[in-house]
Amino acid sequence: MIHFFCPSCWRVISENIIICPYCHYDLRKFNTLGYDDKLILSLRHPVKEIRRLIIFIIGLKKLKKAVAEFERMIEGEDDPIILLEIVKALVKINSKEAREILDKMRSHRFQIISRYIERIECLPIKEFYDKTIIFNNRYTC
Amino acid sequence: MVMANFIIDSIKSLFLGATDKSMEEIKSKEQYGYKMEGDVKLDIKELNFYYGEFKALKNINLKIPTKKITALIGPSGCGKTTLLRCFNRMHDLYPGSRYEGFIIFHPDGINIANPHIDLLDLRRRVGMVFQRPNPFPKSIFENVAYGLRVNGVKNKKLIEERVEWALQSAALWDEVKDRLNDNAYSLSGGQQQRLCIARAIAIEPDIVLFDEPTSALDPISTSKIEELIMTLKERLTIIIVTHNMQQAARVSDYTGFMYLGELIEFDKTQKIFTVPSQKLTEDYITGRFG
Repeated sequence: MIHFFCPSCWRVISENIIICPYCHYDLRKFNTLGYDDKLILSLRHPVKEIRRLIIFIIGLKKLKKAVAEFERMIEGEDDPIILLEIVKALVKINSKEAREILDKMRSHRFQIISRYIERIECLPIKEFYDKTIIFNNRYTC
Repeated sequence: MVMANFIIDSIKSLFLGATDKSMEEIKSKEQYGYKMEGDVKLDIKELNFYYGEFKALKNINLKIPTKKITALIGPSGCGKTTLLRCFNRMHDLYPGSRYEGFIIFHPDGINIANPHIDLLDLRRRVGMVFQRPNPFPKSIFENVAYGLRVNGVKNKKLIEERVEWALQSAALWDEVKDRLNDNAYSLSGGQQQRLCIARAIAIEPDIVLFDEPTSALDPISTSKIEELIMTLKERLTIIIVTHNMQQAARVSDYTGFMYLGELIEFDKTQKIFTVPSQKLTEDYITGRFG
């Protein structure tokens, strides 16, 4: 059984519906979006595994325009696995805004986050990138 | 000599369903719209599969590369496990199943979908690991030795060497070398799954099919199995069905996305996840449906 979700409020809706009956989002608008924008919308997906995958893909794509959404997520996120995935993606994006967020997270309440940032800082840049950008490698330092 | 070759080719095409001409046609590397590095192990052409009257696979065209990991993803009921089970003809265990088309096994050119092929030989060359670990109610040693014995290996020393090699390859040897005679059920779930992988590779198949091999395992065991799968690709061609898209992204070289019995998109894994070419693939990856 396949379920379809509204890409705005993420409630289950019928496949061919045009306007979401819950949040009134116009799904025709969604169909005009590019993949990058769809990825950013999906950062609000209720299924944790999907959010994690999307963060991972955004990291691979080094999608700078997702940084603001990451900042919003970090404020409300209590799951250290998701937070760690965001940190890894921010490291790959490596824009000024991404580095500022990483800097703020240096003293994060979850040790897994603060220690990860500490550890990557002590790696020379080249070694760090070798460990993070190869697609099939796990990129824990 | 020429006459003998002609007779052999004729017999081949009669019983195995593949001719040199069809093989040449298949060799075109961009035939299906994507570039592939290296050789092709399985070439699936116009494959349809039926459960009775129900058409579960619709016109599948796909090349599985040799010594790479190919992942099949898609929502429940999309046909990914059905496709996987075509590769070792598991469906033949159930009445009413029917194949149309070609699954050419290279380099021999055998058509796996041909009803007259030797299934025992096929399953010796195409091993399978299932969702839940399914060791036999035998000792750890006997589980791995089983396939060798079935295939007629009688030399005790050779069997011992192969069992040790398979257990080492499955990253299990260090954990079980002192208790090879213990019952396989005494192992943890993750160890049992690695034992099943050892059992599958002991007879040195060309291909190993993995049907959601980590869905019943904890994250640590999952990680070990994933590492093992990545190591095995140096020797084997691996095809893995997974619900976990991040697992496909982590371990595979190529990924196929299936929906309602059709192969929607097949390409290098990084491309599928970062720049999919089909809207359906985009929507599935971004969680619009599932």
